Amino acid sequence: MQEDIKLAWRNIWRNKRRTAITMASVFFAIYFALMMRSMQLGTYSHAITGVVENYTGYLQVHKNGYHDEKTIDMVMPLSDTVMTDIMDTGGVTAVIPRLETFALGASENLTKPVMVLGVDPDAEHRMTKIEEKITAGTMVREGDNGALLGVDLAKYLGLGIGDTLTMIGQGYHGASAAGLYVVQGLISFSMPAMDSRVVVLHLSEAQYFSSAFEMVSSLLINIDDPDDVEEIQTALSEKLGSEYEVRTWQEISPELVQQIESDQAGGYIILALLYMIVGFGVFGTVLMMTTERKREFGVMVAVGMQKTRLSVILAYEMMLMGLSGIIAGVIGSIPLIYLMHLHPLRFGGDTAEMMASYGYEAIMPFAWQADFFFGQAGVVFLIFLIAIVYPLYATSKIKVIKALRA
Amino acid sequence: MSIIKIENLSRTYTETEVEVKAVNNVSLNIDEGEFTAIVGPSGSGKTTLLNMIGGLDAPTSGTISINGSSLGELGGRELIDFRLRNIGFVFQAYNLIPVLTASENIEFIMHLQGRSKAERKSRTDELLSAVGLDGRGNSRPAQLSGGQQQRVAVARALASKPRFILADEPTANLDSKSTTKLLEIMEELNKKENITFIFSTHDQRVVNKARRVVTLEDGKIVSDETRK
Ligand SMILES: Nc1ncnc2c1ncn2[C@@H]1O[C@H](COP(=O)(O)OP(=O)(O)OP(=O)(O)O)[C@@H](O)[C@H]1O
Ligand SMILES: [Mg+2]
Repeated sequence: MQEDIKLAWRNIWRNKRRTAITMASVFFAIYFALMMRSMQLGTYSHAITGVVENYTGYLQVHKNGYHDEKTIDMVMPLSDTVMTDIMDTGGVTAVIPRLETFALGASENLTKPVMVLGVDPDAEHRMTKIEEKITAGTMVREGDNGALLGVDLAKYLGLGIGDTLTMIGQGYHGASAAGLYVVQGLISFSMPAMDSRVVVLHLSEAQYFSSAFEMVSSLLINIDDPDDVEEIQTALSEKLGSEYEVRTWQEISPELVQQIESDQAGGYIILALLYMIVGFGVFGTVLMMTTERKREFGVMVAVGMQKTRLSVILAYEMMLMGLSGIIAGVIGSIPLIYLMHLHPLRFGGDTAEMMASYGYEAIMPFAWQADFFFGQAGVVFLIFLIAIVYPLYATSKIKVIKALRA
Repeated sequence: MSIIKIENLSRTYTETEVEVKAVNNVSLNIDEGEFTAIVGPSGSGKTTLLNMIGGLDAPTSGTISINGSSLGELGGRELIDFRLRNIGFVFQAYNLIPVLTASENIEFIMHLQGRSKAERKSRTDELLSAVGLDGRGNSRPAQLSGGQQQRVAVARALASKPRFILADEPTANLDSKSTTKLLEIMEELNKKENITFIFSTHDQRVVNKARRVVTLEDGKIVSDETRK
């Protein structure tokens, strides 16, 4: 066996052109597969962070039942113990309160159902960077009797900064809710569903409006590792008890999950196509290389080399070239993937608008994590193994006289 | 003593539109130490006959036995091992292994026979010098002339210490000087080491050197003369 490896090694070094071409076919196979996968995974996690970190948080704590019945009666008192309990849970990096309720918003001539979002401005900004979403005017502060209107809602109602918005709705435990608010700014979440109906108030103003004093509807939680979301959900549920419910972003935004899943499916199809293309590339190269050497193989068998031994040596050659091609491809793709991870591509034009309408920044970041590198290296190695089966088989069945004439 | 016994050997190609009887009922005995030329016009069956003697091709009917073993009774692997131990090949197109140096080409067969490194080395040097290529052991085939390559091929054929050497038109690609040189080497090996040579040729000068000339026509032996 050692002898055979030596022979294989010598063949590889002695014909540098052949080795370079074979390795290049594997190199590009792994290179493209890694690029593609990194781009896909980067795009998914970008979509997730886009929605999760900008709006929902990774987890939310509600009064038990709120998820199925989002009414003002399902609010809960803002409790310091609960907040501390949550913050003390491993992996949690931030928790912020919100009060969400529904009302009818009106200008002089028009009305529209609106979603009232009561926030704690500083905490909210720390988690979701809300101030960066303000397109005109200023953030609502403690004591401000003002409101921020979603850009599309403002347009619809014909309201600008300084105008007055009237809201009527239902308050806590049957109280009636009504109020007049000065429009002090416009806000865009880059999500049509939000921008056409959101009214942002200061948390205490929203509590006052709905007579839900010291109450909140949700506590938003950020965590340091998105992969831990379910573990933390379990830990929190146990800690907080049945009075509360803990929901993950997947439960809060099933549409996002669905969108990512269908993107993933599309991604797998594209990846499968890529595998086929690179697979045939490798197969063609290996087949060409063995065909080119047919006469050489014929001579070897004529003078007394067993065909099985010939295939074994050839297999060693292929393995050495395939593995080095894969290693070179992984190393070779690292700089570009890392660069694209740090400095994502930025889209312009229609793509940018379309992406914005899904609620995330128009960039295409590349994922940077070890597991898919290993995964793709494994897949490409498997493709390589499949691609060399036929050339090896054909060599093991070589017909000496024909080969000598080749 | 005959080392090769051929009886009623035929090879018919049926893949073609018209059946071709490339070798037609040939019987022939070859003794140890012969220096025999197989001649005949193009298409007369020389290559087909040599391929069958070398166990590269199987006859349609008839038998070949070498040193008492009948080739037809050997399985695929056995046949390859048989070639390794008994037969040296020299091809018209030299057919050295391009990635190997002259020495490595010669050593290759001894590798297959599992000989020790020291033995390989000394025999390779001995053979290189026998074919007049001292000092060219590290050249690759592409760096050698056709005549030199064919001399390496002869050395390679001898490396395994075969019973006999089969050479199909060994000089067809060589100029007259290289042809003369190659023939001298072959004759010397034949005389000094009693190595049996069987070669096919078109070249009258090569025929003139042979001590036995077997002439084929349409797959049949039409004459078989031994000279003194
Ligand atoms: N693989 C094959 N398939 C069909 N017919 C073949 C095949 N090989 C040889 N023949 C035929 O068999 C006959 C003998 O061919 P062979 O090659 O043995 O002749 P040769 O004496 O070596 O000729 P040359 O001097 O041209 O080398 C020819 O008629 C040839 O066309
Ligand atoms: Mg011929």
